[in-house]
Amino acid sequence: MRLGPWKIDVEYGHLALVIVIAGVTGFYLADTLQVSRNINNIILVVPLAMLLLGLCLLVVTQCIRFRKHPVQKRATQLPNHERDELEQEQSPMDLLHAFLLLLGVGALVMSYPLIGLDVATLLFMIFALLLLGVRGWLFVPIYAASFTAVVVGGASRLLPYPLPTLLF
Amino acid sequence: MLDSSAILGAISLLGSDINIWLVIIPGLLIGLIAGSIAGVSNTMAMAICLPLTLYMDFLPAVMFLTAIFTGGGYGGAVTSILMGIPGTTSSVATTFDGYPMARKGLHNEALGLALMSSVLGVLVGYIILLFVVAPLGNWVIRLGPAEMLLVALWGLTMIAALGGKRLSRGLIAGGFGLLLGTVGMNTSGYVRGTMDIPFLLDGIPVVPAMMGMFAASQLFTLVGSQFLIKDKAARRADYRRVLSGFLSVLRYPFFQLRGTLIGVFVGAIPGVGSSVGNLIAYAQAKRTDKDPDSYGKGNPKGVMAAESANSSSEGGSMVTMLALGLPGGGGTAMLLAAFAMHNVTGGPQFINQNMDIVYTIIFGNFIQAALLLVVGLGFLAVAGNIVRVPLTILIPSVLVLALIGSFAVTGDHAGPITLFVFAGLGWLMKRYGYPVAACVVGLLLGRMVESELIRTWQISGGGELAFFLGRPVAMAFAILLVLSLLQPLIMRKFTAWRTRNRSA
Repeated sequence: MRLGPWKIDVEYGHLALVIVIAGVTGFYLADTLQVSRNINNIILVVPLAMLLLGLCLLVVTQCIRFRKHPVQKRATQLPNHERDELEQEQSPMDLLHAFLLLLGVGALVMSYPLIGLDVATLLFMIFALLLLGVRGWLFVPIYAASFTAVVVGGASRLLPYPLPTLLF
Repeated sequence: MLDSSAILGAISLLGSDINIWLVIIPGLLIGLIAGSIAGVSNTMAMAICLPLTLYMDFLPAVMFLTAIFTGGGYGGAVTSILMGIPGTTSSVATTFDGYPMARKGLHNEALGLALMSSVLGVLVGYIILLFVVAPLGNWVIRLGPAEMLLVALWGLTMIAALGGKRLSRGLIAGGFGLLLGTVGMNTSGYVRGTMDIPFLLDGIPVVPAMMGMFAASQLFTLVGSQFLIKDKAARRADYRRVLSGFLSVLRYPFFQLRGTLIGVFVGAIPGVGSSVGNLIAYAQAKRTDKDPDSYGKGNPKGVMAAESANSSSEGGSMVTMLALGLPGGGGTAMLLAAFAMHNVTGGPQFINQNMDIVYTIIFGNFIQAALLLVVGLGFLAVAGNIVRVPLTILIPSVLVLALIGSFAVTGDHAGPITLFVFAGLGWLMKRYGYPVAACVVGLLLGRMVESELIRTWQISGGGELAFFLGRPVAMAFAILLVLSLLQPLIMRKFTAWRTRNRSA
């Protein structure tokens, strides 16, 4: 974003994370104060939450940077430790895949009480394998099915609690 | 210090029953497997195997459970090194340098080094236990809530100060974890932050949260890569390189010994124990090393410090269990349960009247440490091959294992939901340079810190300064806490001053 001679760099993802942390902290602080203002209730939570909110404010200022003459550093000009971090950077497509995988885990967690852990795991495995680039119309279903059978079947026999499954 | 007649009695007890020896290898194997599966900790393995010990005599039963305990201590390092996911809470610090070593293709060396360090840690930890079981027990019982609080905060600030790109982010991660660790009903009966969700009354389930944060932060950042190790030749299991990792431990005896001593003494403190001991040992190694910047990038000394401390903390935690009858953590609680099942009560009376049995347990653990070397090597031959599996297959498979592991911990939907929520949080935190470990340790210690703070407040008459001045150990821990918080700042100033002086 540009504002006159200034260029404003905003780390939107980082900003979102800090807002989430500050939001959860604020909610927890309000809930604690609403329950009771007795010292045994607020002794840790209130000072810690205040400290966290202050730190979040500090980090927000680091997420938004104003620069008059932006100079794009090239990777070869960067110090060693920054170069190391750059090497680990994921491409936008990799990030999208990682985000979709996270959503897939969420779908697995939400769906297994309804359709059974075995069926949900099988569907998740097929989805994740295809998403991550595994190809082979025979390999994907065979690996997903055998992995599900071994892991869910084994867990349902080993664990002392009943697993919510459809087939095992 | 040593009771020679009890030692002779212990030797004769060890020779009297073949079952004492027969249960060690199965116990080690169960521990190794359980420790290396995230979520299925050695405590859970001990709990599952506890009913089996009903059919054993007292000593084989204790030996079987301590073998699981010992095996699990090293098992936790395997996933920490190979995947960056700690199998147990006590192997968090192993991930800091173990995983970067694996990514560089040095997984054989890292696993060998961790194995040797663990074996020496267990061995030296129990040797120390042999001499100090009674005096250390007396020292531990003098630690009050103020000391416990400060040790917990010291461990947390140390990791918050050392873990991230910036101190502010480390403090946010540690503080946020600590805050989340207090969710639910506190020690005074106040219920906060539960949003009317019943399972949150007991607090956020820590192990599923840990698995979510570590598994996600590692696995999601690997999306797009083909293998954990880029170089194909470096992927194979190579015993010569494992052996060179073994021997490298001998090159840094001071790091090994210091990690072991920290593990024993911090491990002896109930409730804090091995979860904090490995972090303190790691931080000490980094703080005193000539090249602190190499830590977190695959420095073998970092792995050594963490592994020696978490293995020797087993000996430390046995102190409070044997000398005082207090379980310092899940593993010793299981052992105490086995004691009770055989109508034996731990505590000062047990030590006074059955020193030969105490020595038998200690000597039995020496044998376990030696056998861990052999069994661990065999285990590495199988576990080390994980780096040869393509990440496109490994990532979803490990995610499913973590999800089922989280279900196994809680026995209901609470585990998987927690795993998912913390997976998202861990991924974002890792991406923006927040130390995930600090958040996890905060979460682990939150409830204890609040309880000890309330107790300290109550017994000090509302935070009277005179109370703290009369407790030198608490004062020492408080000074260490402040120093670890200021250490990055002091070091930065010192380096700048030295550079200025050199250039002048």
